[in-house]
Amino acid sequence: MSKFGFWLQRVTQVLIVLLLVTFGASLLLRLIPVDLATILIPNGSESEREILRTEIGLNKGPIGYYLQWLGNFVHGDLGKIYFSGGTETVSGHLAKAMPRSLLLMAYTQVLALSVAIPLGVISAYRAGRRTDRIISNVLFVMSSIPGFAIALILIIVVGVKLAWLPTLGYATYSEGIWEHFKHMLMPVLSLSFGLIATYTRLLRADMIASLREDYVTMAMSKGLSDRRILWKHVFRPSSITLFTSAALSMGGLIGGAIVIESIFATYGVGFEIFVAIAGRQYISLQSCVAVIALFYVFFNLIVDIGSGFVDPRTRDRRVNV
Amino acid sequence: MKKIFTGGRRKVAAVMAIALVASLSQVATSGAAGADTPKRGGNITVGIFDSFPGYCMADNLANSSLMAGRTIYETWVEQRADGKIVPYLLKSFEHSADYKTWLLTIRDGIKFHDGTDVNATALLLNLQALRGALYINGLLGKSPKSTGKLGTAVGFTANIQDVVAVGAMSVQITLYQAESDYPESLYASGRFFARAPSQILGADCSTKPVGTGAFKLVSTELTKLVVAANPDYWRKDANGGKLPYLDGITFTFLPDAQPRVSGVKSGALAATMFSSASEAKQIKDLQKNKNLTTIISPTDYYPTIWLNHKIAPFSSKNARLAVSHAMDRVKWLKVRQKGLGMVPDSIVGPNNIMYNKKGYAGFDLAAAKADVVAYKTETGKDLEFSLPYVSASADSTANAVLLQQMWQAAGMKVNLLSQTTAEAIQKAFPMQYQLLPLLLMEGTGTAFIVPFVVSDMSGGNPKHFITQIAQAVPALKGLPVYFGILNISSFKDTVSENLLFAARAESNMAKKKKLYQQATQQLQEEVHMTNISMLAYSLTYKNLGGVGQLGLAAGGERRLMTNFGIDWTGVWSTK
Repeated sequence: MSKFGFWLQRVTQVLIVLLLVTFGASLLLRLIPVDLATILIPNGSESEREILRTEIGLNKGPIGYYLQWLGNFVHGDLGKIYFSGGTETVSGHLAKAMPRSLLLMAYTQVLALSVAIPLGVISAYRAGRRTDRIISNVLFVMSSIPGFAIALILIIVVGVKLAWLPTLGYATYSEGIWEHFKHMLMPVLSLSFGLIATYTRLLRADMIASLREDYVTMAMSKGLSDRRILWKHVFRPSSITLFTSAALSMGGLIGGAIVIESIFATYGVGFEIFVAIAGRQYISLQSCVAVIALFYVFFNLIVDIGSGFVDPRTRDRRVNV
Repeated sequence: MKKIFTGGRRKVAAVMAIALVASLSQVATSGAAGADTPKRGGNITVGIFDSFPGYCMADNLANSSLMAGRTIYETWVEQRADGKIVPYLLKSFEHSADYKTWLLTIRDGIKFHDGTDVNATALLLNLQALRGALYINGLLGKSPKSTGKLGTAVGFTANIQDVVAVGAMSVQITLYQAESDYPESLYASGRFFARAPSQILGADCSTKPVGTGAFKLVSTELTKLVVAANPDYWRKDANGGKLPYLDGITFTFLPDAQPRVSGVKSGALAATMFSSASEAKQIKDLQKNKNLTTIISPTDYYPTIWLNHKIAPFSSKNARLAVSHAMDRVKWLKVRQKGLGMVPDSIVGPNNIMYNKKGYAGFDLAAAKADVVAYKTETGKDLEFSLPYVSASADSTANAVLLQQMWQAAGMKVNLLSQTTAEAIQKAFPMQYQLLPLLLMEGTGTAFIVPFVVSDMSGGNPKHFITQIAQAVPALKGLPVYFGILNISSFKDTVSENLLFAARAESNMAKKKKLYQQATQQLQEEVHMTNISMLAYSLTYKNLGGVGQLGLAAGGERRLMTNFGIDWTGVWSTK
């Protein structure tokens, strides 16, 4: 199979996954045993509900409804949020929420990788020794504490007792870089703890395996320094699993930070989902799920492309297959 | 006409009396005290637990979002700390000898935020919009952002027969039945704002609030309201200084209690509100915090269990008695409200003029069991019904389970019926459930009680324009009927109704109170509805001064804390 054929296949797979996920979400919506128009505008008249059914395709079958929604979605119309005073667009909400979630996710990944990579390398280099045992035990504790518990501890200690950082809200860059980071630090720390533990363990295991490879023995026999061997010859091939895991967790972080975003009221995508569920805004929920799925498969695709660059053998193997 | 209130009379005596009443009132305060010297400037953020569905006639701002809305809007009349309704945007209100005609005169020199005058035209337009007249004639509610539908206000204004402007600054209201306390209805528990004509008639009635308040709209969305100081605000402080003190306030919707608690503790929020319905634990914890001040409203909010008289089993009085007798209200207060509140012994609280213990079917398990047996003897059926609850809400589920246990202990079979909030609202008006717990009634007066417990507010007013239009125009037959729609128990009781209307007409306070109490007794003896708890609301703040210090324009103290929080006009930041 040619390279073009391989990428065409990957893109096709991605599109199929997206269609299946969004259709599944759409179908779940139609399976709710109540009239969606009544839920969306409980105080509306029957004629207003009929207009709404036509507007969003609820008067069509599940496939007709899905196709209408999909058509709107690809044109950027993600539906509306309904309340007695009118409507707000889901795209408008996501346009505000998405950059916040993306930044939260990006900072979380940067922090987690910045801490996990040196720890993983040291841990692998000192495998079985005291340093490795200390790092492993600390990581074990870190991975045992759920993110929301870390968030609450941080709020009590750092936010309330010490009053160093704000406990809720979001500040844009225009409100000041320092103010922005002050608001982001605790949510980022809460989300990073678990990831640091996971990433360090993954990297440690892969590096220990790589350190046993013949080419490492060859490099050592050539008199290369430990640092050069570790970072140039061992880290790069050992990082595939780490970066794959990091990329896969990015999609999950966008929608999966519901609890953390609610605790810190950062008004990101997770908070939008929380509000959509609480307010029975099912159209908004469906579109949010679709956007998260989009990000998920996008990052999967990035992993595929990225791993090919990091380790050309993987790309060649796939092409050869 | 007798002039009841002109403002400024006997101020000293009134202030002293009110101060005494306020000192004895049930508003509880704890924690740090605010500084005494007003400080100008600053922007603060306030955490609330309700969102902002809109600002037009049919958009009901609830509790904490009503507090936010009331920074933009003001009401024609206000309630003093002692419960008396006094003019606010109005200069005076006068009534005819039979209390069927009321002349409302507006205070001079007040302007809406758009620069237009507050005058008779504006008041007339507001009243007609509340009555639904503007919707009926197509002036309101025809734009997507102008949801001026027939809101619940139509039920509250159903006793109005006619409204006319009688001068540049005066409006005359003619009532169908006499109301000696009509200003209470005009207040509607703080909900009948003065909206600018440009808002009411504009295309953005729901999204562009224009009022007379101390703050003006900066931006609004479903989860946030940002307001800035109104530089032309009409009121001054005690020293003649400009109000408000704050530059701006951001009200932010935080549905979960935890961020509100941590926010106010850390200073990220200057203040935040809570409800004892589900956040009693947080309120009690915050009360103990010496760095914060927590003020709690009186328990003047009366969640009701509405019993549908139209269908079985609650068409039977035995069934209604069984339900009421089976509820262990002491246990409920302890388990669900952590002791915050009070055990009800009437359908309204002790501060309400209608409060009467007589006839109230309180907890009595033996009596409940006997009622269940009596129901079976009467109908040949077991007493079985469904209790709607919102399964997505942990609080609603816990409440439903506890109620189910109590009723089952008396021999009733209770099916839990999972509903969404939207379904519950839709099926409550008109009532389609057998029974429904819902907080509607509140306050010390009757304006926010009577419309829910009478069956023919407008049906008893044959001259009401909606009645006439619905009869004349076949196309409007489907128009929502508000004559008794607010009475979701759907009962008809001429005894209680006559007592209520007689009480409303009576001007002698002692006689009035007696009539209202007799009505309450009748409602309780017939168990037209029952209850299990009474609620309070709290506000916790830090680094704020002036809370509750600014009196009313007509003299006297404003109520410190209500379900719609505090008044922000005279509040300053001490930071």
